[in-house]
Amino acid sequence: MSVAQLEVRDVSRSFGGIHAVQNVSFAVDTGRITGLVGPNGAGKTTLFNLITGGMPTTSGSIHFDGHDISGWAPGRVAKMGLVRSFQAAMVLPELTVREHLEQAVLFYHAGTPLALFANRHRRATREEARATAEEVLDFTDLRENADEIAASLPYGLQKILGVAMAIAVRPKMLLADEPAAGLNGAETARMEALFRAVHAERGIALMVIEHDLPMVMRLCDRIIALSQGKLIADGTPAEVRHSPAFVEAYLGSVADAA
Amino acid sequence: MRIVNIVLTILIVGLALSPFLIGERFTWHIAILIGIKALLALSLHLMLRIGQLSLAQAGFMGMGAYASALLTRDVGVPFLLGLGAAIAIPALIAWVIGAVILKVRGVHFALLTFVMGEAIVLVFVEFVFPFGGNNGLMSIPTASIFGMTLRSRESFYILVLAVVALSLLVLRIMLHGQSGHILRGLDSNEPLVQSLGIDALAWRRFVFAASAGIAGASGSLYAHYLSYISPEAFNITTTINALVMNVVGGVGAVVGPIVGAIILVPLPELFRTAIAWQQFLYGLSLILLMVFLPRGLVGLLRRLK
Repeated sequence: MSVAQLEVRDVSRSFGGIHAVQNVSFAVDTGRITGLVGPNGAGKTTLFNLITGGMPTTSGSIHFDGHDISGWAPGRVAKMGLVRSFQAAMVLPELTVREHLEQAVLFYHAGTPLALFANRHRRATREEARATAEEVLDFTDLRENADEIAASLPYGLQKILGVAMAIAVRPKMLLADEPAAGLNGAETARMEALFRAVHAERGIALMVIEHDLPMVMRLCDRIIALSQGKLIADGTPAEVRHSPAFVEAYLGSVADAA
Repeated sequence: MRIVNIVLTILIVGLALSPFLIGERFTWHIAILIGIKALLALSLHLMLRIGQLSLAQAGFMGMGAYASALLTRDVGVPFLLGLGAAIAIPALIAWVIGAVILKVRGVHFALLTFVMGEAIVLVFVEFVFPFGGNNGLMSIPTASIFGMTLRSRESFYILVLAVVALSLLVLRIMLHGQSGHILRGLDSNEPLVQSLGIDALAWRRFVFAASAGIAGASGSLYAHYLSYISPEAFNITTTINALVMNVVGGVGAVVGPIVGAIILVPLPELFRTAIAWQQFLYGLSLILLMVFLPRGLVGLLRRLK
């Protein structure tokens, strides 16, 4: 039996007169890998921001694990087990890779000042952070870079670190915004392998925005396509690839790829 | 970096103790003013550390000054309770208002807090009862602790030093360790730390409240030292002076605003003999400092090292 873990119900968002997302509805079951595709400006990142970024919907609602999370602050959504990674590499200055992973866990525990200063098990929290960091270093193959300053790493490794930090807080579902953007072929392959492992070995559901269509079609068991803020196709990769609306949105470029 | 910090600490502790060696009335006066202004500069510094320029600090200082003055003079509460209220009231107000205005960033936040600071001063001017309007409040009782009245400048200076030390301790706890990691993360990469579970607004409100509390303590000391306060002491000029102390001393370290206060508070006094030139020379000194030392004096020392 599968339960809808993330449900987007008739969600719209406009900025002034621009309708970035219009009446989009879908439900994602636990343990799936879902791809979110569409041309530039289709509203994919806006949709992510509506789900995890504290951006209020103009209408409609978003539900996760039975809670209405529409407009929740990002920190609160993360605490629910819904964590995102970013399109651009995001690192903190002066911290090493290992410290990033430890801090990810510590940030998760210290959501508010009260949570930090009233934590009676600080030592245990630090121990947990240390152990999680070591474990995630191995899982993501970042061990040889563990003591390097993250900001000085190659771009591709910074993006792997972004996913690694998200994994470190043990989410139920990971929303990845263009994980392969800016990566070369080898790095893309490494990212794809990492996502497969995240899903298969850690049981984390994935929702991936990606422009690299071959990768997203290989990786995902379901594809949701947006164009100009509207949902235009929803189904298995094969179904979506052959849907006329999807082909039209990509002006034939997909027909070549297919 | 560590050596610079040790040298600076020794220098500041030495300077802090120097009035005891010099012993002149005027030295005590300047030293007390430096302490009071350093507190305000520190309160602003805390906000600058999370990347937000609050121009309401003098307003919070005024809240502390009026709260402490009215409670001790008209209600008759002991000084220490007055000081406590001077910290708690601005902190509480900042915490409540922060829920709204801390959602705004950058120049807009600076403008909002500017308006807030001016509005606070207007309340002191307009509500003649209980704030005394433009005349302010007079005959504010001398500070006394457990029945011991701090009549001498020496004893009041020790009180000021104690409050500065406590504030430094608060800043240290907030800016170092885990809390420091969170605040630096909020300043450098807010979306990232939020995505990992940090409630950014709760942390900002916490910092804003602590900052307002320290400014309020500064106001309480100011009121009980001068025994007279009036609204114009808490207008934007006072906040700008605290900002200049941060810029001159350097915003990268907690010692920055203290170094700034030590240099800038006595500066107008140095030009006192040439009254007509005082403002001009003061301004010129500031421009020269900012042009040649963009990272402040502490930044310069660290670079030399």
